[in-house]
Amino acid sequence: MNPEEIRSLTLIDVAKAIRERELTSVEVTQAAVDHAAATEEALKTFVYFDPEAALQRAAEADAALAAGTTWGPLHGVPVAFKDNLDTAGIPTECGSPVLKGRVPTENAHVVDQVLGAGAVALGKLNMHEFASGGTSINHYTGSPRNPWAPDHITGGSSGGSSTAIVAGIAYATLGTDAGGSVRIPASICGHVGLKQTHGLVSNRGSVFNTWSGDHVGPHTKTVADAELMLRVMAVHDPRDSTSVDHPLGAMPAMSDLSGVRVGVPLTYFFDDIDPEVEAGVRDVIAKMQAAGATIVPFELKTIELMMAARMLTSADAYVYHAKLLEERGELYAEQAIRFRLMATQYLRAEDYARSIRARRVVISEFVSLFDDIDVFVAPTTPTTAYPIDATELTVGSTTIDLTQPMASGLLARNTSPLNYTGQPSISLPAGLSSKGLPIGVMLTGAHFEDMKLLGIARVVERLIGYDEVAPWFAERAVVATAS
Amino acid sequence: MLTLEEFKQLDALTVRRGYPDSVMEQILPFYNLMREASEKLRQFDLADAPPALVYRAGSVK
Repeated sequence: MNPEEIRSLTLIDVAKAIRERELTSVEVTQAAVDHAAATEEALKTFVYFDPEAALQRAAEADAALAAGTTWGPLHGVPVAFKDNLDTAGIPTECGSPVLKGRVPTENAHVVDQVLGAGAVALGKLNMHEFASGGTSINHYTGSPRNPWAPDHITGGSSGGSSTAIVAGIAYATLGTDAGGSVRIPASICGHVGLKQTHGLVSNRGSVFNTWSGDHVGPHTKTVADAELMLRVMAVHDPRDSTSVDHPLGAMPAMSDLSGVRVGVPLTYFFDDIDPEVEAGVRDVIAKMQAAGATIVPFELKTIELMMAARMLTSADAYVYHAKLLEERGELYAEQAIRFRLMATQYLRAEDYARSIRARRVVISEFVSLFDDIDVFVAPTTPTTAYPIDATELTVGSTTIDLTQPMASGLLARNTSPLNYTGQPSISLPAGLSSKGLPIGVMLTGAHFEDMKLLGIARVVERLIGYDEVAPWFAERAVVATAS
Repeated sequence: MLTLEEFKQLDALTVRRGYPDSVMEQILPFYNLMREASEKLRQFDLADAPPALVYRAGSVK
């Protein structure tokens, strides 16, 4: 295989090829390293890149395999981590000058799981400063670029994690999702992004936004790859109070969607959506119905309550930042993040307590909803990628001033409710707009029914036509290199 | 929604950070958004919020 063929493999296929010694980890890692280096100026994927360490680890993986030892299901496979996941001895700065020079002494629990499964780490990935925005525009690190159109946003906050997948650099990457930060860039860049049920993957060692909303999730090319990553990552962590010891179970093997009840929201999720995005998602729903699914329209009564309470529930991010804000506040590259956090210290205890109670009311409605449906479908993001330097954006009938500090919240309007409820939710590529930019469709399941969600997503992926790796993984990488 | 002067009074009576006006001016729009959300939230009766959540898969939080 030539390097382009190697880079176009899925995670499962490359892991199998290494395990069965059809490819060496050094060959695979060299292809990844070479392509990362060739595309870095155009894509700004990494904030820390260590090809020597990666190739050394790959050589050790090959030696172990030659000696009859397999480290785990990711043996010898190149991956990369978002810059807010702690890596021992390697800078972890959350894309911010505030944490410049911060070098953790321990790996995040989830990083340990991935490395323990045999993966080869390429480096740390670019991101929105402190994961506090949906675009990944970052004036400190230099914004990561969308491989489909390098002058466009990747979405965020895990933008580099998506660039690395779509450009064919890494076979899986880790991102974090506190309001959609895995699913948004997955949608905007056109690949699979999973946010599993809250608590299945440890947050220890992830520099967090909120205890209750953060999720570390995988970015992959396919649903099957996401399942493999979730199995590696979902290990109970007794040192994380949010970690839940719950068996994943088996992913159901489904040939079609007979008997599957697909919820389609009548309120909120399809409001103020780009017409092409809506058409793309409605087309997916039609394909699901044609494949045997029963369509169940539904309304949510607690959306207004959620919208009021959500901002207040996330106020606990202040507690992490409090000291940094007082000592280094002027260093925040995006000062709006600083001032937004500072505002939350004036929140009344009564209102915070109300937001916690409100959350239970909202979650109760979502739990009951799944008595009647198995998944629900919505657009992941209301729009496709837009230029990094855009100052205004029209979505449906609404024009948005992108210079306003809260503007990037637009991209999280459909994803963030599922962080609030903690349900599993996955974004799949659902085709391209007339401008050739990816559209994302989001499937959401019931709490702790992640494998059922993935089983259904696997069928939907086939219906959409992204069952195998789309050829553009290789093609776009070539374009990015040339630009 | 609070004016800058009112917000400075709130700070003086509660958190007592005493930030310069230039900083308070930048915080104020975010505080007012939060205040607006708080006022909306107070319109809901949350007395009967469930004390525990039982998920379909059997877990309880």
